[in-house]
Parts: sequence; C-alpha cells; structure tokens
Amino acid sequence: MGSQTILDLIASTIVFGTLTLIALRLNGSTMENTHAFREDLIVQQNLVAVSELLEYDFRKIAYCKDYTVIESPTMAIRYADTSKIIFWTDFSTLANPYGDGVLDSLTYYVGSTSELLSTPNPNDRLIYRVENDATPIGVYMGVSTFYMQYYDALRNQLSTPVDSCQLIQYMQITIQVEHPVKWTKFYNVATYDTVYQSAFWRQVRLVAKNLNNR
Amino acid sequence: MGRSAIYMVMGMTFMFLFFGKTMSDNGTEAFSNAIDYYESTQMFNIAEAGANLACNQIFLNSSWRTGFTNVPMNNGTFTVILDTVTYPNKVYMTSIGVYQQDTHFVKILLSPSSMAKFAMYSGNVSSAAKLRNGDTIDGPIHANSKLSTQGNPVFIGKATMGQLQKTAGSPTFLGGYQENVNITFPDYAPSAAAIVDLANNPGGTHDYQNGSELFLKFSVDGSGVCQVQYKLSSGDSYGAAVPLSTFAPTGNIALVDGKLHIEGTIKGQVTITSALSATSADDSHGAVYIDDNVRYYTDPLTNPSSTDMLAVVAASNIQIQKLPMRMDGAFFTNSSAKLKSDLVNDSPMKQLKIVGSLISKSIGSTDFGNGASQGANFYMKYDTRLEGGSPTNFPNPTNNNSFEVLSWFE
Repeated sequence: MGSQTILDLIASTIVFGTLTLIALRLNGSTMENTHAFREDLIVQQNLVAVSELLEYDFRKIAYCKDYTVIESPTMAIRYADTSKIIFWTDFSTLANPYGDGVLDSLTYYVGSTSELLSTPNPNDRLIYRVENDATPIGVYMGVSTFYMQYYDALRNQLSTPVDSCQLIQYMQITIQVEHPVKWTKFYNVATYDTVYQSAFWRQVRLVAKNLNNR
Repeated sequence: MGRSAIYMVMGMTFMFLFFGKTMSDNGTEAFSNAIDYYESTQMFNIAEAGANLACNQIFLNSSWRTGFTNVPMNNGTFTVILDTVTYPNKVYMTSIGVYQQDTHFVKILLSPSSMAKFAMYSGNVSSAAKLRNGDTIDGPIHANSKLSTQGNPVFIGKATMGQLQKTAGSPTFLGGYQENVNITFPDYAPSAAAIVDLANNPGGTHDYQNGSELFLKFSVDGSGVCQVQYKLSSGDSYGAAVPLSTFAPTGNIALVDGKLHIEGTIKGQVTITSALSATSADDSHGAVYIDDNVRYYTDPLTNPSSTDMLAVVAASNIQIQKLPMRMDGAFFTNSSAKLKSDLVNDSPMKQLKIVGSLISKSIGSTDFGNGASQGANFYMKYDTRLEGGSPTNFPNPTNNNSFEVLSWFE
C-alpha cells in the first residue's frame, strides 16, 4: 500500500466523518425542532380547549332554561375575584342540551403553584371547574395565568374581590398556558434565557347576555 | 461516484422524508388546531348574527314571524325559525349557524314587553319624594328623572334611574344600580282604547260605563267563583253579586270619563281601565280609587302557579284610600299614584304593600307622606309572573310593541 493510498484513506475517512457528523447534527436539530413544534402544538391545543370551555360556560352566566327560576339575573354572579368566580347557570346534559331548567352553581378557580411542584415549570397551576357542590378536582392544562377583571355598565373597572357582583356587566378574561418543561430552542431574545413555551389568550369584553336581560 | 455516496444520499433522503413527514404532520395539526378554533368561532358568530338580525326584524315589526332560511353570511349560512307554539304568547327563536358542515344553535325566548316588567316605575319624580328607611323595593325599579332617597331604603332588584339623589344615609342596592338610563313614559291611550273596545262589546252585566262614578267590589264565593258587585254612588248599597264571567265576559271592564273605585278579592284575570274620551284628567275623570285591599284569591307569593291577574290602567290618578293597604296587581296611572290627602300625615307610618307593579307618570313631593316619618312605608314585591306574561293590554314601553329577552342560550 503506497503513500497515495494511505492519503486517500485518510482523506476519505475525514470526508466520511464530516458527513456523518453533519448527518448526526442534522438529525439532532431536526428531532429537537420536531419535538419543540410538537410541544408547542400541545400548548396551543390546551389553550384552545381551555378558552373554548371558558367561553361556553361564561356565556351561560345567569342562563336557565326555565327563566322563572332566576328572578334577578343581575345577581347570578355570586363571587368574583381575579382568579375565582362563582355563578349561577344551567348545565347542558345529553338529554337536555339546552339545560334542564334547574339552577346550577359553577365555580372556576386556579390552584396555587405549590400544587404542581413536580413539574419543572414553577408557574403552572391546576385549573378547577366545580359543578354545584362536587369535590373540586384540578385539571392540568398548563395554565400559568388565569386572570379576570370586571367592569360595570359604564365600563369602570371594579375592584376585586367585587363587593357588589350585581354591578358586573362585562368581563375580561386572560389566560396563559405554559409548557411544563423548558425547551432550549425557546429563549428570550433580550436575555438569552431559555423560557417555557407559552400561548396567550384574552377575551377583551365578554358579555353574558342573560346577566342583564331583565 | 462510489457506492458509499449513493448510500449516503439514500440515507439522507430517508431521514429527510421521515422528519419531513413528522414536521409536516405537526404543522398540519397546529393549523388544524387553529382552524378548529376559527371554525367554532365563525359558526358561533354566524348563528349570533342570525339571532341579532331576527331580533332586529321583530323590533322593527313586532308581528314578524317569517324567519330566515339559508342566508349567506361570512362563507356560511344561517337559518332562523320562530316558534310561537311551544311557549304560548311568546316567541321562541332558534338561530342555526352553519359553517363548513358544522352547526351552532342560539335559542332565545322572547316575551312581549310591558311596563309591568318594573316593580315600580316613575317618570318624573319630585326631589322631595324620597324613598326612606323601612321602604323596600323587591323587584326592578326605574325612576326616569331621579331616584331620591333619604336614610337606608333597600332595593333588592335592579335599579335604574336618570340620576341618583341621596340625602343622608346609604341606600342598599342589592341588585345594582345604573344612572343615566332613559326609559320614556309610554302613551297609555292605545292600551286604554283597546280595553274600552273589549269592554264595550255586547254582553256583560255592567262591564262598560260612560261617565259618573262606578264602585266595583270583587269577592270569591264558597264554590270558588269570582263574583262582582257594583254600585254607582257611595251612598248606595252594592247590588247582587254576579259571576265575573257574566259581569265581564271578555275580562275587561271600562269606565270612561268617570271615577272608578275598586276593592276586594279577585280570582281569574281582569283588566280594568278608567279612561277618558273628551274630558281632561282630574280627580273625577279618569281616576281610580283603591278603597280597600285588592287581593288575589291565590297569593302568587305563596303559590307561584297562581293564575289570578289584575291590571288597572288609569288616565288620571290612582289614589289609595286607606293604610295599611295591600294591592295585588299591575297598576298604571297616566298621572300620579298617591295617598288620600289625610293619610300623608299618618304617624307612625303604615305599610303600603303592592304585590305586582306600580307604574306612575309622576310622583309629587308629598304623594306618599309628609316628611320623613309620616305617610306610607313602601313594600313593593314584584310579581315575577309579570315577566313572562304581562296582563292583556297593559301599556308597552315602546310604540312598536317590543319584546323582552327572557333567556338567551348561545
């Protein structure tokens, strides 16, 4: 084996090694991107699920199929704070998709961050949706922010917790959903700190039609 | 090119295809997620638009029941169906929004509006006509000019007013309140005319009278039949009792250009007017005097399924002749509701309990009491049956017979 052959072998090994490293790097990057996109998708799907549920429930504040059951719809909101709300509504069932005419109580609130110490994300919380006097069971949807503001008829913001819930005419709901784990791909462009993938949704002005219909 | 290069190209291609598909799937799902939310929002908005347009049509023409069929809207369609059978005397509206084969339903129950939607309405209120300590308004109240309070009256239902004027104390608004709300006093004449027409139909013992004075006394006999007695002068004795269905077959009683007195216990549904033709309203023309308690036979406060209903529409004042007093019914006056003049000085105050609705064009400074501790203590208890079924021909707050939303499912 002459020196030329040895040089050829060395050169081809270098070229092959380089190509292999490129391929492996490409593989790694693609996998990271794929997973990042997948996790981003999960965050967005969680956000859509939460926002659709909230919109559905909150639009039915003060609704009851039997309107005579709610004498004063303005009093349907029983408690209103930035992270908790209790109101009267009428649940849909399979047999009665437009409600059964029996008044129900619905409570929404978020738990504390200490309930989810098992996740790396220190901000995520459980969100609770409690029907009547059922035992509260938190659902993990990655919610890190669940914030509500309330406005009266003249669009003045009401201080919370709202003393006179009957003054509430409009609501603003803000939700942020975060991933429980940081992905290195996502970072703050200013600080270069890695951040949790998040999605943000705000219902700027939600009006429950039944709240003020009478 | 050697075999290795071909393997390399094949390997890379395979890898790209694999990851390409996975990434493409992610992209598709993300897009699908966004589209799902967009579509659900779209079909909701389309159904809402249909409902709003139909409500507007009913507002423009209260007898409109045509509905809409497959009206294109924002790349979808909506259909609106109006049902007047499921809920008698009401309109049950269903708006169906269709977008990309998905549907959303909005269901609205509408009821003809009436001034009886208020427990208490006053058009022009004197600053001195205050609601005071011990006064309770349990139901919606509107004071178009101002709501004047002194001390700590309690408002259990929603309160609206042109302006809130407080003198000492702090009123309690459990149902919230809203200023700068203008609901003008309606024209009562079409309602009164309709009642007069019905009462003036052939038949009936004495359900229509022109001029002079008419005293009506209602009672319920041992067999549960509502009876009516009447007389034409205070010095007379009441005549023989006649079943209400015979006395006023249409359920409407009218006195035109006269002075009407009412008392007793009512079973069934009666609408009474003291109307005017050519004369001007005063204490002898178009006025109604509540001589004694006017009660329902079946109390709606203890038995909400009560079907007893009284409506009184007066062209002039409604005057309360004694205290304490309980009045069941929907009372409308095109002038003032007030106490008999010597009652405004009653001390201690006595209760005036109205179960139903009191609608007055104005309230004068001493109509219900002379000062803070004389006259009547109000206890207004709204009869919630009036929300969904106002008395026949009770004045409507608008000229076009508008509707009220009773429930809105979306």
